[in-house]
Amino acid sequence: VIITALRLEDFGIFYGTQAVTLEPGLYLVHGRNGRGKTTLLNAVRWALYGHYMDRQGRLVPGEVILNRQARREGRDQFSVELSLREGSDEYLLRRRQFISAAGAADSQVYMERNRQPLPALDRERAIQLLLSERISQFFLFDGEQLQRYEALLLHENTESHLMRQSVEQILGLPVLDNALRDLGAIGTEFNKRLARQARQLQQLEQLGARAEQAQADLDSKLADIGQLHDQERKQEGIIRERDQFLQKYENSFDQLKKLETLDEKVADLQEQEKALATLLADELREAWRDVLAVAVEPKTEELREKLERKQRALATQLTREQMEKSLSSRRCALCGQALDLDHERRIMDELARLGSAGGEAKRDGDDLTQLPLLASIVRTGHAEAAIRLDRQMADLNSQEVTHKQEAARLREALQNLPEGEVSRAQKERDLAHQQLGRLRSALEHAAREQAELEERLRRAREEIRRAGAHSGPQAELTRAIELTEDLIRVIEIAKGRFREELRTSVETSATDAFKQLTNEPEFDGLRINDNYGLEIIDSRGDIVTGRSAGQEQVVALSLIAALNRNARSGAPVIMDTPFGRLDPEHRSNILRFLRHFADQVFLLVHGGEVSDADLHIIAADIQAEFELHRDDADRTAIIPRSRI
Amino acid sequence: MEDRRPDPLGALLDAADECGISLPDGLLAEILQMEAASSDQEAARLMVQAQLRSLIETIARSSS
Repeated sequence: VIITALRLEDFGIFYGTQAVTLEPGLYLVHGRNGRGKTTLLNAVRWALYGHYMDRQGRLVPGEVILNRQARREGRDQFSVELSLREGSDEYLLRRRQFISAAGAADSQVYMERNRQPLPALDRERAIQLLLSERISQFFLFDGEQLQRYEALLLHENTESHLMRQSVEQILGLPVLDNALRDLGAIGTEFNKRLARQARQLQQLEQLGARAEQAQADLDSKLADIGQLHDQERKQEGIIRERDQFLQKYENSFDQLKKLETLDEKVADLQEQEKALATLLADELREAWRDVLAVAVEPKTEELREKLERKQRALATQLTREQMEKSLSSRRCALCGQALDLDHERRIMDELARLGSAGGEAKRDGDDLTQLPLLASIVRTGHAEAAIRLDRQMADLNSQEVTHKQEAARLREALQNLPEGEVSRAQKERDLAHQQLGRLRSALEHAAREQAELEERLRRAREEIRRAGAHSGPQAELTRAIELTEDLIRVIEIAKGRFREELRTSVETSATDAFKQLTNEPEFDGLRINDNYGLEIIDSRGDIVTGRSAGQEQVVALSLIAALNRNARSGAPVIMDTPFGRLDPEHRSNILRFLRHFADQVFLLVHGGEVSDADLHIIAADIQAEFELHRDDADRTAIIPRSRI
Repeated sequence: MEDRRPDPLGALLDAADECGISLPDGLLAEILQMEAASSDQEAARLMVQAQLRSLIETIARSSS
């Protein structure tokens, strides 16, 4: 499939009629941010599928899509017209939406094949066959969202399951699935008919009744299972939607947790400060002694020395008095013995020595009365303890202020967090997970019952077939049933084999593309898993873990190239902002590889994404270049680049 | 790159051989063609089923 023409009327930022005619080849559409590159991609999607989703996956209403300038000028409709070619068939698809004054939207779709209008049923079928919405993510995509293909690396995940289905649809596996489903339905119908016919025959009546009952039970069980699957899809949808919503606030959750931790730390610090304040108050009650002791100690020492001096003087005076008394009485004042001349001379010498050493004690004892009081004022260590505690408190207080400032910054950052909506989405997601678990358990149970019923039915049919094998219409029906069952067996076996061949072929093509896209000599290739997820293998044959965003993008592009190569029918590839995470070398590799991606490739690039050197690389492959030229905020036009 | 897409018809013919099931010539190719032109829509499915049923009945009748 290729796009041969695109015509927009008042679609989004594109004012008036913007029309381009196209051929197979490579197209570059240049536009700075906000010039409408993504709108152009969405215009193609809207024409095909009738809805316009923004980057967050939200539906954009018609009154927002209508160009604002056109609306001011009184116009009330916008449209997109796509001309497509598939083989020798030419298609025209036109979708138009009218916006009433009240904002209500009414859309019209017209499609023709080879100039013949298609009725609604054929129209939807034709779009599905040309490029069904399920697989469009591999053809019409935003380069910055390529990392979602990482989901294919997971084995048990709703997203990976849906992606695998999309991949298999591109590769054409549903042809065999649909054949199995159709043949199963036909076989069931044949058997019902056989059972009905059998019942008409007396000898087969009982068998027929049994088969019909088994069939009715099975139909009922299948209807139950169908309902369970519907509910399962609904819950999966809820989970996916809530996950997408909550993903936007992941960073806020981290901040919220950090804020809670900070609040706890602040409360803890305040408790510690309170305890320290009590200890400090206790210490301060005694700390005055330490302060006073510093001032009092010299005075106390001085008084002590005076006291000692005074005590020594008193002792000397007492001795002298006793000696004088002994001399005057010529008898020892202590023992009463009479003194001889030698004793008297020695006493007089001693008196002479004492007279020069001491003298009478001075009468200055009035300040010594303060000594007991001053001596009681000594250092206790309470002041030092108080200083230590005060420093600890200052340290805690500093930490508290820092935490409070950080908490205030986080609170400000979180003030726009819609806590109510987030909390509701979390609860709804959790509830949906619970319900999904219950549904899957019910489905497992129902699958076991289905298997039992099918076995019952198979036995009943077998008996009918044996009984009616040689009678007229029963024989014919029996042959039809046998042929149907043979076909089912063959297709079931072929399906497994075909799926394996496809996986191998996708792996080979993806590796081939990867080797041309990557600039890492250590990488040996890619290995595919059951989900079509691709692992990078290094030269030692080991899986490369911790892939960078750029490597992820290269792997995703390799997968897309491989899928296009193995697709049942090709389709144009439109890449919006394709080089977002890539370095210049990878960008050059991809540009060189572009012509292998598909017959028709559109690159929607902004100014910084491709350089003149890049353009030189692909000059020979470029079919045409366009510029998204802005006249004013509401008027962008698509202009061939050479006219700028 | 060499263009070698896996072929569903080849896989079907190999599977028939493996099972020892003999099918009328061209039947598997015709079924594939019918299914390839179909889509997931209910009405389209019913139309293909009607074509397929008619084909099988014709073969069953002709072999009696």
